[in-house]
Amino acid sequence: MSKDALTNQVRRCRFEAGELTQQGLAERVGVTRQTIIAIEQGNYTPSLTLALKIARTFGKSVEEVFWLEG
Amino acid sequence: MNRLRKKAIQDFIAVCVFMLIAFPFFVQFVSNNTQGIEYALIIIIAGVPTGMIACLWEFNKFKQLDERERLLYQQANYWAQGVFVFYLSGFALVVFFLIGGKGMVPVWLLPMMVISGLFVAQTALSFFLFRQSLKEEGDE
Repeated sequence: MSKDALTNQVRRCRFEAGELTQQGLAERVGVTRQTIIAIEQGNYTPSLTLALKIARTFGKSVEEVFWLEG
Repeated sequence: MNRLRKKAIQDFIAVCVFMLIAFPFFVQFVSNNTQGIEYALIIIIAGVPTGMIACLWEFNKFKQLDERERLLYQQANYWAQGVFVFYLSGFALVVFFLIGGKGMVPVWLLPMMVISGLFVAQTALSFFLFRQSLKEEGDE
């Protein structure tokens, strides 16, 4: 069985969205800043709902923000 | 202070308050050798509404957590359940071998085992959450 790791470019998307802060993103998607930090660092895999909310915040599809690597 | 640490501290204070209230009552009941179904009914009548209010309060707090915090809380609960079972097993075995298989086990040991087990389990839960909150602070 392959060990697929979920990778994301949330940090890059925040940067592209005019330096949106972690707190700002957290408030928009309804989680804590610690959750955004954990997602960015790859320590937490978000639910599909949260992944969709984050992608929608940046006006992107979920595959553009999150993808499997490996 | 992040929400997980706040929850860990609040839960630990709650169980300490519970112990401070429950333990003197328990000691009093044992020293008086309390008997009779009416005492059990008093405890049930007072305890069930209090327990329900505590559950509702706890459920309301749980709903305020986000999905990652809920997951961590569930993991902490999982560990606390393990600690509870381990503690009860250890307690029961120690009592069994100290008193002997055919010896008379004092009845007060049974509620004592449960009350102290709850305290140990809640301490384990709070410790797990507290450790997690410290780790999060380090990641920031």
